[in-house]
Amino acid sequence: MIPSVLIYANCQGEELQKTAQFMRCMTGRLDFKWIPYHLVTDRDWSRQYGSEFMADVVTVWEQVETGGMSANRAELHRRIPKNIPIVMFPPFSASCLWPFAGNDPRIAADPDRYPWPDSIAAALAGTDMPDAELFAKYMQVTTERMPDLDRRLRLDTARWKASDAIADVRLAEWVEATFRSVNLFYTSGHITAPAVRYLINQLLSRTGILPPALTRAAIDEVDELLRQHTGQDFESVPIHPLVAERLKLSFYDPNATYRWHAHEWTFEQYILHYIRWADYLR
Amino acid sequence: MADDDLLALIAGTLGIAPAEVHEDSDISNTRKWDSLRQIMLMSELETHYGLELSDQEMLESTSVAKIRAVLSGRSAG
Repeated sequence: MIPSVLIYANCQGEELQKTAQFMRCMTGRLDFKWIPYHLVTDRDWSRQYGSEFMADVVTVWEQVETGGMSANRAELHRRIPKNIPIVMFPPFSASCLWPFAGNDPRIAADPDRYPWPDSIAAALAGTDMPDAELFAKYMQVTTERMPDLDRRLRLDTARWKASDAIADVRLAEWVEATFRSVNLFYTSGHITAPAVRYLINQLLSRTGILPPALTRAAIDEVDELLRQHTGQDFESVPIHPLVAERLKLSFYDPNATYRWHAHEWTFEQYILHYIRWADYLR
Repeated sequence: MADDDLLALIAGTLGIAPAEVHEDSDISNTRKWDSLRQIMLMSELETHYGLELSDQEMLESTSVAKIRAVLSGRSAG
């Protein structure tokens, strides 16, 4: 039986698992498996994550969440083998880059079409205007209602530090120092390769069961594995140009296109599709 | 905003069905309510109620009961 690292995390855990499981230096030595804590159900615990699943777990990489112990997390702690080391790490997330993320009741009924909300675009749904006028209206309203982004960043920083305070891995300082020059987020909760690289290297460095030479070899392979990695880019939510300007995002390219599943859209194209809740699979 | 509208606003911001939000809902027992959605939710409250919350209120109003307490405190003031 090959021992396993169990990753308990949101979809960022899938990025960690997919990267770690392809390291040549880990072949035959250590496996990596993932429980998506945002999706797991009571039925999953009983059917998929029972004692057989847990038997080979020798370390847990557990993503923390502030706000108290959920029933789901309590179930994890009840099931993992006693006395195995747990490395706690914070989630990556940013609200300041998409300040209009908010209320859109369409998502509950149709959760997969456009899962990253925009409350201004939602309020314009049903507006009968040609594309150019509709986009101009969106830009007008968002410009008028643009919140204080320094405050948003301050709140994000407070969240990052609160997560760091209950974790073994620290992200806040690095994210704060990096996010303006390097694109770390495809969406408010999906991360790019540089963020995956930073996180997995921190986790490997704090995984005490690994001999130092194996840790060094694994970190070297992370660089190689992520060289062409695009990760969770299948849904890239464009950043509003005024947000880029006010937050001084040096990586921002106003002419960039963004992947949305099989499409490459500009900011304007994305917003128009979102407002109209347009089908994009045909 | 009527009471039911607050629950609908919370559900709409979390991207879940209104039936999933109750008076005893909070960040630890409600699907998709995490620290990121907390900021989105508080921003929506500010817009809909036309008020400005403190940073502490934004970060710590993590249940329906706490949100109602903040809102009733504002209306009493």
